[in-house]
Amino acid sequence: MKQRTLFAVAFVAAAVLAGTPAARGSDRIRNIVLEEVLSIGGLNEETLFQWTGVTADDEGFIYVLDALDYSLKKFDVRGKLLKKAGGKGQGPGEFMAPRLLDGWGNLLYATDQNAASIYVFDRNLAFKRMIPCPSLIEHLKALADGRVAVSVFGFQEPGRILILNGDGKRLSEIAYADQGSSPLMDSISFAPDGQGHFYIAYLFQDRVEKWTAEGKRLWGAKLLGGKKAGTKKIASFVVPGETCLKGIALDGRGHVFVLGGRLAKNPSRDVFVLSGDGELLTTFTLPDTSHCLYIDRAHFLYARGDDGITLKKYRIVYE
Amino acid sequence: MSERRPRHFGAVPGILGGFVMAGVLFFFPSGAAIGAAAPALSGAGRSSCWVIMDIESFFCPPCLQPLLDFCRALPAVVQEERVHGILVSRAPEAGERAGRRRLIVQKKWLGFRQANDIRFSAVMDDSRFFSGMLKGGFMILLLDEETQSLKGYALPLRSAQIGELMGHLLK
Repeated sequence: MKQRTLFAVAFVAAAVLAGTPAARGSDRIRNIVLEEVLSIGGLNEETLFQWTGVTADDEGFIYVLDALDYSLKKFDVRGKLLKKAGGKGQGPGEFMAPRLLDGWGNLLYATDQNAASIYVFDRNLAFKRMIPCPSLIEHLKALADGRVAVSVFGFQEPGRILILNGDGKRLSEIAYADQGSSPLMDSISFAPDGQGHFYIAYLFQDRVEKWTAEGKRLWGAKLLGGKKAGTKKIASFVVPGETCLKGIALDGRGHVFVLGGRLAKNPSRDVFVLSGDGELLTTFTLPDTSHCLYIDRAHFLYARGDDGITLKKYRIVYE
Repeated sequence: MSERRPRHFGAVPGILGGFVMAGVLFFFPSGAAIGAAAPALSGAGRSSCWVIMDIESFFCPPCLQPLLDFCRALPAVVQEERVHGILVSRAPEAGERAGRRRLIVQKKWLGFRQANDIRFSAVMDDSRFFSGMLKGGFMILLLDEETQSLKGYALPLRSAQIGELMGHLLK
C-alpha cells in the first residue's frame, strides 16, 4: 500500500510539476492582461533552480520552495534573496522533496512530497513544528486560526479535503469525489475563499467545482470541452495520461483563476477566469508554461518562467 | 535471487552496443560542458564511467535515490576524475529554444549538484542520442579498460554491481 501511495505521489508530482481573500462578488470583466512587475532567478542567477511552491505575505515578502536545492527561500519586494533555510535531510525543517507552500499570519506551511506532515516555519524561516497528516499530502492551503486544509494521497479514504487544526486533529472534511472513482483520477488542486467555500480543480478531469464547507456541491463547470485525460500504463500501474487542469487560485474580487494542463489549447499556459458562480468570463495565456498559479492578497499573480528557474510576478490588469 | 547481470556491449556487439559506441565517439564534440571541460573517455589505463541522467527524474525521489547512493559510495576524487555525467532532456524544443533549454538544464544541474555534493561534471545530450535508450531515469556506462569493453547498468544497482563498479573505479 505504501508503495502504491509513493508511486501515486511521485506520479502526480511529475504530472503537475504543478490567496485566500474573501470573495466580494464578481464584477464583470471582458479581458485580463498581465504586466510583469518582478522576475526572480533566471539564467544568470543562482537563486532558483526549480521552484515548486510560492506564497507572499502582506508586506510583500515572497517565500519560495526550491526542489533542487531542498530549500525554503525568502525574498524582499524587489526580489533580493534575504534568507535561505531547509536543506536536504529528514531532520527538523529539512526536505527531501519540497513541494507546496502557503502562509497565514506569521506562519508558513510547507510540504514534502515524501512526508505525511506539514512543516511549519515562521516568516523568518525558523522551523517551528510539524503538523501530522493522515497520509502524503497532495494539496495544501492555510486557513485562519492556525487551521490548514489538505487533500491527501491515500487509497483508504480518497477524495476528501480535510480541515486540520494546528495539532493535526481533523475538524471536518469535504468528501468531493464520486464513490468508486479512481484515487489518482480524483487528484485536485483547491482554493478556499475565506467564507467557507472551496473551489476545486481536478488535475485529470475537465472539472471545476465549488463546494460548501458542509460538503455540498454548489456548481460544476467544464473548461476544455469535456476532454478526457485518458490512461496509460506505467509498470503495473494504470495512471492518467495527461493533465486537464493544473491549479486554481482566487483573486480577492470573487474571480476564480484556473490553469489549464497539458490538454489545454496552450498547454500549461491557458488560464480560465470564472465568476464565483461558475460562469466563464474570459481566458488569457501566460507567457511561459507553469505548474501552478498563486495570487497574493494584493492581487499579484505568480507563475513559473524558464521551466522553474524563474519566478514571475505579474500585476493583473482587468479590462 | 540472482544478481542482475550487466550488458557487455563491447563483449557482445549488437545494435544497441553499436549505437552506444557511436555515441561515445560522436557525443562529446556536440556536448556542452557544465562545470568543466568535456572529459576524455578515461584516464590512461584506468576505467571510468558515464552516468546518463534524465533531468526530469531529479523530481522523482524514489528514482533518484539509487543514483545518490552510488555517488555517495564514490570518493570525491574518483567522482571528479573518473565519472562523467550526461544530461538528457526530453523537452521538444528545437532551434533557438533548444539553446535556451540547454542553459536551463545546466542551471538545474548546478543547483542539484551543489545541494547533493556531487563532484562530477556533466554535459548535455544536445543530439538526444541517449533519450531513446534511457529507461528508468538513470543509467551507468562503465568503460572497462581491463577488458576493453563497455558495460551498461540500469539503476537501482544490486550489491554485486556496485562492488563491480567500485572494483573498476577505485583501482
